[in-house]
Amino acid sequence: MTSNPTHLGIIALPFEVSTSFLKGTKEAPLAILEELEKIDNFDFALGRDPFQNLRRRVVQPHDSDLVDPHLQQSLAIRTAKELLTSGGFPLSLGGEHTVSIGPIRIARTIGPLGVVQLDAHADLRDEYQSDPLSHACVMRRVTEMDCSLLGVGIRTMCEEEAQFVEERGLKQVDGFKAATSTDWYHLIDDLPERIYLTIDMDVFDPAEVPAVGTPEPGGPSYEAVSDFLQHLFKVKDVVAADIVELRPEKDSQASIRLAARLIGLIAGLRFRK
Amino acid sequence: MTFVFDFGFEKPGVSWDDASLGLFFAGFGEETDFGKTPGPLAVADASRYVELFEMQVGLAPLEIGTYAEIVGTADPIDAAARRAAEANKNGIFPIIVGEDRRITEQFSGLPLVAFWGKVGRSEANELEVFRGQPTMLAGVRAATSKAFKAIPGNVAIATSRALGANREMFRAMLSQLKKPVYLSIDLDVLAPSVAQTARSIEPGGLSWYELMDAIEMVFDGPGVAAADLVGLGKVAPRSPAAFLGAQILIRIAGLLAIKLSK
Repeated sequence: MTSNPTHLGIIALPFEVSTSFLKGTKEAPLAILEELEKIDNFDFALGRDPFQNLRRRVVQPHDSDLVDPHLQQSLAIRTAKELLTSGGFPLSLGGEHTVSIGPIRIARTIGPLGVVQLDAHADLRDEYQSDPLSHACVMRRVTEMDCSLLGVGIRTMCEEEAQFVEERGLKQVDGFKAATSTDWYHLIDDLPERIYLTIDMDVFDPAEVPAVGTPEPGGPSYEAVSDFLQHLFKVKDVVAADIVELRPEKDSQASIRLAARLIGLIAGLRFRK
Repeated sequence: MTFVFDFGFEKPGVSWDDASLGLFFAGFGEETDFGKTPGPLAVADASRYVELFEMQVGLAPLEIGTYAEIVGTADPIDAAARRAAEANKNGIFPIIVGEDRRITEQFSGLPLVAFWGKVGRSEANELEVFRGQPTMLAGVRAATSKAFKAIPGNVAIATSRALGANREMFRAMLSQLKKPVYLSIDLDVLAPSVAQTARSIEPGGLSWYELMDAIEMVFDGPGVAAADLVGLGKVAPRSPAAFLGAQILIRIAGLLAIKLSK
């Protein structure tokens, strides 16, 4: 790997333990990877094919590991570490949002880290149904890693989370603002140079991405998110990312396509010419 | 048969005597034009997965005290409407959660603001019930010719397109209403991409933010005395539309909480 290092490492993590309203996120990595093979690669936002001259590989758990959350987390951590220390870019595909924890922890051990969370939910509960590693608690765990956090598209939370946001002075951009304006982009200026980007697919307006577990009305379009990502990658060093919480089902091809498109967009922005 | 339940995630309900908000779900498979469907029950179930803090206004809506019951009789919509009227008389803000477009004669003494996507025979009949009151039909975008002709002359219409494009016009129309209204929301007023049910298929329609903004204007303007959420036929259990229905109810509770806090 050192002589011919991977640029983009896609880590497939069909991890699903704690999803609540609608289940099925474990089917997402395979569905997205299959879709990625079908799409026309030219990206109009980038003006080129993001995968041209890009060395990429896909890392997937063995069948026997699929049911073991610990083995999946180990795979995520090991692969993310390998990529981050060799100049590669780890891109994890969940599964539920919990898969973010391992790669963020590894990225944080290397240096100061900001986390940009695109999500409809704050995910800041201390526990959800007695589980501190629930997908509803993942950003709370991240705040414990001494990472700066910016939530974008957040439009629902419980009272406990609202109090936590206030106490910690966490910055959030609500769903309406994320959908309709760019005057909040300056908030990323306060984050460290190195950024971990986590995209919960429910950040998108469910009119565009209905195939998620808890579809919250409102929220930004693909175009609005695309504009923001172009700005983010321009001003910060985004070192790793994940795409989580897609819930493929029949008739959800457009949602899967959008997730696949995000991979191309992220790859293209990270590995500019 | 009727039973009381806790609406919302980990949020115990309150007794009838302590309630400010009453939710009356017409349950047990009301027969509609679209067959027997469990839409209201799907919404009740989905409420257990909705976060209950209202970010826009910084409050927890259900703190006002919510009483919720599922009403199951041979005609659950009628029974839910009667329970809602009873609640209203006891100072409880009632919301009927139903499937079909038949609200109630019990509220015909109130002005009506109806967010309905289409006007068919049942909607025209309903408007007839409110003939003696100022009535506003908002967000409409489809009607049968016969139903359109049957719309009573007292009904002011703000089409879906007009409402989306000109909120000040809507505010001016609301200013003509001089007392709190009966607010009716049919899920089909939303664009089919927003309210994804087999029933809501008319192109166009309001976005989530347009509907929420318009409802807020009704609360801020004439005020609201009672409400319903209907058009839930074909809303399947554990579906995005069920979740959407629960979100609308909680948003209305939030607007009510603001009003009560003033």
